Amino acid sequence: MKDKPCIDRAIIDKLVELGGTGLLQKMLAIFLENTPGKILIIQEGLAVGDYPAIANAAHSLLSSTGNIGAQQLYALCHTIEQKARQRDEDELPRLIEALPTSYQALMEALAHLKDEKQYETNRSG
Amino acid sequence: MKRIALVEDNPDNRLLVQAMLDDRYTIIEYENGKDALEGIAQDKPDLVLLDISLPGMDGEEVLSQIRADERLKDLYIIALTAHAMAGDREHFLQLGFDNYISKPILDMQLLIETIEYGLSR
Repeated sequence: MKDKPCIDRAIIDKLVELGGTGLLQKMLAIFLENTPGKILIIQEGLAVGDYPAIANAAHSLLSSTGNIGAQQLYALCHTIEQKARQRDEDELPRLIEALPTSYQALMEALAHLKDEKQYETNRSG
Repeated sequence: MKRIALVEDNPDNRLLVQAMLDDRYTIIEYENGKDALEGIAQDKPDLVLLDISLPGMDGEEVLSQIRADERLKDLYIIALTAHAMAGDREHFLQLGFDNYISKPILDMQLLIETIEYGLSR
C-alpha cells in the first residue's frame, strides 16, 4: 500500500475544476471532521471483536478517502473491510495498527498541498 | 428541471453529487432510508440515487419498500456503492435496481449519462 502516492493529485485537481477551491476545502473539512471517529470505531471494534462494525466503518471510509484521492488510506480501508468480513484475526491487528500512521501521512500531504501557494492562486474560482 | 432524490448518509458524497449535478437537476437530499421513503412518497422525484450502505434501514430495504408501493414501483433507481466488486452489477440488478454506479464517483460524465439514460426510460 505504501507504494501508492499518499494523494492522487489528479483527483484534487478534478475537485477544484468542478467546484473551485471552495468545494475542495469543504470536502476536506468534512473528511477531517468525520474520519478520526471512524478510525476510532475500527480500533474499538478490534478491541471487542466486533467485525461488522469494523467492516462498516472501513466501508464508509472508502468513498470518503476515494473522493479526495487519499490512495494509501483508501487501499488500507479496502483491505481492512475485506479482512473484517472474513473475520481474519491474524491480519486485522497489523492493518488497523497502520491506520493512524496512514492518516497522519495524509495530514502531512494535505498540509503540504495547502502550502503550495501558487496552487490556490492559480486555481481559485 | 428534473428532480432527483439522493439518499446518502455521507455528507461528503452528498456535497460531491450536488456539485456535479445541481446546475442540471433539482437534488432532494435524504440522509437515511426512513426519511427517504417518506420524502419520495410525497415528492415523487423523477429518479433516485440510492446508497446501499445506509445506517439502520439499508438501501436494499429502501428499494424493496419502493418496489412494493404501487405509486412508486416504477421509479428508476440507481444503486450507489463504494468499491465495486466483480459481480456487484449483476447482484444489484437482480435485486431490482435499474442501474449501478460505484463510489467514489469520479466520472461526472458517466454519472450524468447514467441519469439521462434513466430519465429517458
